[in-house]
Amino acid sequence: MTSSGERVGSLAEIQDWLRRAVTAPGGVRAALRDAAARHEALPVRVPPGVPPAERLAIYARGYLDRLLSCLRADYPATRALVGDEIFDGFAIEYLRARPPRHPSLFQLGDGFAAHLASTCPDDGAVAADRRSWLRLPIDLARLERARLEAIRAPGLEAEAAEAPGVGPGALLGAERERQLVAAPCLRLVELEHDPRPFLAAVDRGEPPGAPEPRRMSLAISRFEYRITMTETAAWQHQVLMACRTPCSLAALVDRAAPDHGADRGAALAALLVWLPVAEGLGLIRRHGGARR
Amino acid sequence: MPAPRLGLPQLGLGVGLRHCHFQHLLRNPPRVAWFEIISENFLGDHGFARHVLERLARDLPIVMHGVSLSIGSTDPLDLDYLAELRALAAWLEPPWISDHLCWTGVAGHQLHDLMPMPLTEDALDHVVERVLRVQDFLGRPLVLENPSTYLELAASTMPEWEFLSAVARRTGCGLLLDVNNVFVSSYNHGFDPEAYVRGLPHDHIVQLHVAGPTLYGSHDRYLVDTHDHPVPTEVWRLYRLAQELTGGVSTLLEWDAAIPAYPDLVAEAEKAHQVLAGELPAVPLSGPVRDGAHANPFPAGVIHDLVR
Repeated sequence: MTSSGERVGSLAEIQDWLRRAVTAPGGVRAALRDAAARHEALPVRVPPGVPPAERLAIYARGYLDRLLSCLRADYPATRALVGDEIFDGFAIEYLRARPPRHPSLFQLGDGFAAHLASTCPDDGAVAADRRSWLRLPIDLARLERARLEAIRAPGLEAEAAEAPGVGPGALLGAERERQLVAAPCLRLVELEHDPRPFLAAVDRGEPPGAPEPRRMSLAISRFEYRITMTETAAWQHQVLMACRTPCSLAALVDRAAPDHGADRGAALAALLVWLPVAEGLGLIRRHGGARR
Repeated sequence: MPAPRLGLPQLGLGVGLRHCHFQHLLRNPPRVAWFEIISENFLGDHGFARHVLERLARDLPIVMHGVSLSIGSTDPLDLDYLAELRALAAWLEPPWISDHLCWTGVAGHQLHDLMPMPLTEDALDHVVERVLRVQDFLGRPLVLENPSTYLELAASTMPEWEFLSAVARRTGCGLLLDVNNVFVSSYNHGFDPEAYVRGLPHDHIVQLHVAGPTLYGSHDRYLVDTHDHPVPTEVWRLYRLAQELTGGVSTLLEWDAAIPAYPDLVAEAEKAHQVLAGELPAVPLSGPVRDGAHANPFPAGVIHDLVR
């Protein structure tokens, strides 16, 4: 014990004291001032040399630096868009609103795009011709999170090579009763810009151009360990949404028909052309295919 | 008395498996005898990283080293995390699973850092009980590593090597002796690092870690375990002592920031052979290196150009 005051004694008390000290929004020195105001004795030793505040600050810096590094690595394009200072401001605000509660750092950025959306200024904050820019960081963050999830989720790489595909012959022939299902690594996002060229430029380390505002749906998935990002028509988006649970071709025709003038024949024809393409992009597979 | 290394194999020389070396390792021989992964980097990852791991595991032993077990925390053990760890181990079949003597979160708040334990009898009982439960859950001995620490708790009543020795004897767990961490903590707290290494039960030591720390503060007042430098002479000296006392155990070089190209990483690890042959590399301690891993090529932010 190094100073007079109420003893922080049990293991749980010591750990909670340290947690509060190294994560205090005002920093370690503010936390120590608060502890002194509560007449708490320091639970840390004070040897000659480096003072306790500096020792605690090593952990405090480590905590924040590690989490910031993780968010910067997960959202490089969002960071490139807004710049280091603003990105770190967003990230610190996010970490305070939602401190990490999962042992995996992969989960850390799970709610970052939603946080940006919930703290986005009202449209009235900027001129009408610039309003879409407010939502540009949100779009990028949503796309980057979807890509990260698609990289890590179970994919179709281990599907049996000999398994029949979803070509027109299979769909209309002996396999007609077979259901289709979305790939486990498929992620669907609806955006107000097309951020793909921006993301690609950042990936290459090149200066990106500003994305133009344009409402679009994207299907993000993985094929042979390579990420695919495919713009989808409204009916294709509906079909992929339906495939989150196994779906028959007839059910998919129902989903596609409204966008084909309620013409089920036209919807079936469109599906027969598009489903093999979707399979090739790693978006869907036959239900019941072997999976790792 | 337990068998040396608890009967676990002497794997020889290894390095930490890091994502930046995946492409190199898919095209070139590994040139080391084993790899160590950070377990958390592969939990829930079924993509390319898992594919690379599967390829490498065909030829080399791969040890699982965790950072989130939080064995010293007063929060309940995270059984979901442990179940994921057990599932990964069932798939990968690692020679052993290790983590740290520390806590990484409390009150549900994950700090993602190796926080120091108060070294008391109460804390010892707490850790022993949890190690036994984890070993039951995993169906194998846990291997515990000594962490680097930057502060000591006023409540502590024993040195860390005594605490670790008691945990090992009471639970039968193995020890991962990180000689860099011993050096860092001894520098920061002013104890004799050789006394630490001599004070451990050497037959429980399964593995050694070496790494390079960084000097910080005015007048180089403290060391931080950064894993971003070559291994300094003082750490190699402790490494040699540990190998003499244990009779030879698996050695692993950790390097986690400003990571060199794979051949350079292996060359750094191979200095261990030179050390055991009696020649200590002359490598001074040094200050921070610039870590370009997260450097932003667009510091001003593209959106600023739009607004102007």
